[in-house]
Parts: sequence; C-alpha cells; structure tokens
Amino acid sequence: MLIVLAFMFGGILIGFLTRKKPFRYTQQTLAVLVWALLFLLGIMIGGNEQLMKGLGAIGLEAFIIATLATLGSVTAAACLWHFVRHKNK
Amino acid sequence: MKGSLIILLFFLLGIGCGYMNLLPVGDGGEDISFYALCALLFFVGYSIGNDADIVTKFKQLNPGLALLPLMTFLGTLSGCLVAALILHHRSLADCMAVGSGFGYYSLSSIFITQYKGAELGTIALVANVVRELITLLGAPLLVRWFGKLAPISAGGATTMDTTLPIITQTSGKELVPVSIYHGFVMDFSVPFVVTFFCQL
Repeated sequence: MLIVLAFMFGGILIGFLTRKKPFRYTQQTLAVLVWALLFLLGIMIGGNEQLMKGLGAIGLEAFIIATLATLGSVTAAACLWHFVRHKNK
Repeated sequence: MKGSLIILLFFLLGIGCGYMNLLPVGDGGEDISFYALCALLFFVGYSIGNDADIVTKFKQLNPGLALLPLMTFLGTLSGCLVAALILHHRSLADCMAVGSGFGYYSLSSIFITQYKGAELGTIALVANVVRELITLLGAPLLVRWFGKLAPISAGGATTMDTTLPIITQTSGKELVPVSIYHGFVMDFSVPFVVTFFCQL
C-alpha cells in the first residue's frame, strides 16, 4: 500500500518538475492501464474456481448486499455533496 | 458511458481467459496487477503534478468533506439493514459484516471466513468484488445521479488505490485528496468493524 502511494507521490514530483514540457498522452496511458488492470482482475476471478462456483449459488445474495450497501453509501454521499455545495454558494 | 463499456468488455474478456485458462498467469497475476497499479498511480500523480491550478483547487475544498468516511459508513450500514430485511435467513450482523468490507475483498473475506465460515466468507469476497466493480464501471453514472462524491463513497476502502484513477477521471483531480483520505480511513477501519460485527 505504501509502495503504491510512493509511486503516486513520485509521479506528482516528476509531473511538477516537467510541467513546462508535459507528456501529452497521460489520459490515454491512464485509460490503457485501467483496461489492463480490469483484464487482470477478470483473469484472477475467472481462474478462481471457488469464486466462479460461488457466483451462481451465493452470487445473488452477495449482489443484493453489495448493491444495497453501495446504494446506501452513495445516497449518504449525495446528502453531504448537497450540503457542501449549498454552503459554498 | 462508452468508457465504462470498454472497461466492462476488458473485464469480461479477462474472466473468459481466466476461466478457460488461456493465459495461465497463476499467482503471478497479482504481481503483474501490482506493477500495473504502481504505473497507474504514477500517472495519476503525474497528471496532478502537471496541473498548475491544482493548489488553488485544493484550497477551495470544503472542510465538511472530512465527514465523507462517516457518511460512507452510515450509508453502507443502512443499506445492509435493508439487505437483512430481504434476506430472511441472514442475520443483521452477518449482512453488516459482509457490507463493512467496504470493497476490501481480500482482507474482509479472510476475516469473515475465519470467524463465520467459508460460506459467508465467499459471500463477502463476491460482494466486495461487486462493490469495486460497481464503482469502476458505474462511476460516470454515479457522478451524474448522486454527485461528485458518490464514486468515492461507493469505492469504500479502495479509493486510494484501485479506484483512484477512475475517480480522478469522473469526479475531477481536485477531489483526489478527499479520495485518498477517505480510502485511508476506510481501509484502516475494515479489520476493526468486520471483527466487531462477526462477534455480535
């Protein structure tokens, strides 16, 4: 976790130092890396027998809990966002 | 929306390859993911460092945003309460233990497997992977429907690493500090909260 964050801070530093001559394809590189990560996550889920079996039998329950938990949290986030924006005006 | 569909396509392609064992990465997959994640975060950092206005944007952030982890926590548990009402055979504490993984599937599923057995552990694994996927794939829609904080809240404990790039793209660079702070607080609380609900 700390190593990953160290990479980010390294990126901030290098980005700051080279801001006069920026690397132009940052957004494209980000998109390709996101695709690669999701592809790899897919491979790991697809290759995990326990998980693939579970997807059928237990998947629905997990899906219900995950969806409702996420829905609850984004609703709470929407309340805070509304409050913060209101205060800023 | 197009962005989400491409991401979904790559994910499904990955599942197919993994299931049919087309690309036998085995345990090495986690290493490759880790390097890709490092590269990803490097470029997220790079795009922040490159932005000359970023310091001004940070200063304009509202201090009320410090409450976001609390909102995520309360919102998630309310969602789990509703889930427990639908799933009659699951206790409220079980649903809350699964929900309070906040997307941190590796750790929460290990904890829950240990305290409550493999079945609930697997549910926790799948549920928290699903939560991360909802965030990764649905971030643009979440922003449109629930505002810019929604992908951060949905991402739970993952908002300082795996879901940070998508949050940067959909919520904006100025919310990156909020996202890291949120991820850090949630990450830290997962072991305590999960253990607490497992022992109820």
